[in-house]
Amino acid sequence: MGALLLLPLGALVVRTGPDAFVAGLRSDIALPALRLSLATSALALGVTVLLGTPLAYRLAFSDGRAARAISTLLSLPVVMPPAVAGVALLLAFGRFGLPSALGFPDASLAFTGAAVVIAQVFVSAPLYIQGATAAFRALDRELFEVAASLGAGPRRAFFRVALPVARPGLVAAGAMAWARALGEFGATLMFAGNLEGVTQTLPLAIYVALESDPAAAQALALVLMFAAFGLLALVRRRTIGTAVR
Amino acid sequence: MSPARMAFVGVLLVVLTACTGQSPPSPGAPPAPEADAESGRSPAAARRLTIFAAASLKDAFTVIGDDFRAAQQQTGANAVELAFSFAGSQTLRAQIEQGAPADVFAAADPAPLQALQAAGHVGPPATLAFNDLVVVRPAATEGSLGARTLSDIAARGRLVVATPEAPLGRYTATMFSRLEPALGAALQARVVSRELDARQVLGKVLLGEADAAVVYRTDAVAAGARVERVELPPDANVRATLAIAVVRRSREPDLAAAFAAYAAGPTGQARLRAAGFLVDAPAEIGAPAPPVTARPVSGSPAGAVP
Repeated sequence: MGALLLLPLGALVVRTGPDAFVAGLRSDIALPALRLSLATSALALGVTVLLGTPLAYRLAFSDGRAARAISTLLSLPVVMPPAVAGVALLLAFGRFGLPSALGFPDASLAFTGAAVVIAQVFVSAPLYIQGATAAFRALDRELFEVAASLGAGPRRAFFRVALPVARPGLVAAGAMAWARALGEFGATLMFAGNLEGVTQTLPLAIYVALESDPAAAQALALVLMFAAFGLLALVRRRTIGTAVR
Repeated sequence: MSPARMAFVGVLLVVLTACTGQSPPSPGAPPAPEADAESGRSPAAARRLTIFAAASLKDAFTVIGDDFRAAQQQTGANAVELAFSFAGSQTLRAQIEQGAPADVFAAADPAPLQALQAAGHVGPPATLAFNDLVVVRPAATEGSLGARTLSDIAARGRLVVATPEAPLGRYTATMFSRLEPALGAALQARVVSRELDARQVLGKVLLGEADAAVVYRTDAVAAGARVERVELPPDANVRATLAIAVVRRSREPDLAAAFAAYAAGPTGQARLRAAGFLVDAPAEIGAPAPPVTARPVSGSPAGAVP
């Protein structure tokens, strides 16, 4: 199993080589795309955590049929083919979607940086919500009884008990969601288009470079891999540190 | 967000997904060969041909394939099974270089074929047909969105083109450079996205998100009444040459050559013309493709639709 997962990564590193890597980093499209990818995926993660955490908390402690149905519905974007997700986003937020329904005909989020973030949230938030729900469910219910007996209201219990105790699980879920957002390709291409410096994220830049300059594409892929690896390693270290403390 | 509200959003998404009907192929996925409908049960002696063709040839080649199979059957020979893989010419070229089991390769411009021929992967390419550029806009939009001329689009349109890495994008860039400089620059400034291939460019117009797009004439023909065409100045237009060649590794070289000849022959040419291709110069298999990939077209190619 390990070989299956690591061999392609190793091949990418070995076959690219340090010189090509540096050349790829220096190519015109690399830095704007990397910057855009990091900025949009960070924003997407912020939106996901801010809106997803309360939702996951609510879902974790609701056992009704409705809650289960909502959980299932919310994980649909994960199984949707990316291009379908992109078309759905266009129909929802494009020229004939929500903006025109709200009385702004001609307004459209398509082809903007906001579209990149929305596409990333759309495909990555379900992963976070699932992970966060599981993390909250795993909490010992007695913790809440103790908190309530000490006079903590629901809000205080959430911030002072649930969040700190569930934190490692939340961070892991956030890391998965962030990684998915960073690699987002299909929905972005459909919904946000491909314009250098505006909507061309690193995965799009890699795909475009593949057509003209496969070596540069490999180098860019390495850049993406190292960026993801570095940030995930950082998250891991901090999470484990917290858990031990 | 309240659970009720989330439920509403969820239901909305389900409905939207259902509404999209046929979804475009995932751009990230490798192009899956579109196996023929009958290839499920294969008679023992059936001859099998895998045809790699540029995405713009999809409609025409599907019909030509049916014709070819019927014609082969009439000769009393063993049944022929055809499998098509339609994708960008550069992608297909890379796949053939990596040993993909293709028998025939038809490309949207001669460059990939010439490169493959130089490397010994394919035989000499023959000219198949020609294509040129048109600007399309959604037929449905009215009023402020109805950009009717190039100047309208340059003034207030959202223009979608192909990325310069794709042949269509390269032709588009050439076309812009041949326009009056001010108009060309104004149009360039209106570009909101550089899509990866021709069908994606067209898709943005069909969805109504782009006010205009630069596509191949064949794409405009395929879209039918859903788009309206804004013609380009003839002296700025670019003519693309499609070429076809037999892959050297083919296990059915004779049949592959027969298909290439058929596509370049009278029936194939008629089908290509019906799909919007320009076929004014009858081509013979074995004839070298013109070395120039893009040259100005003298006079607007009228009568693209028979």
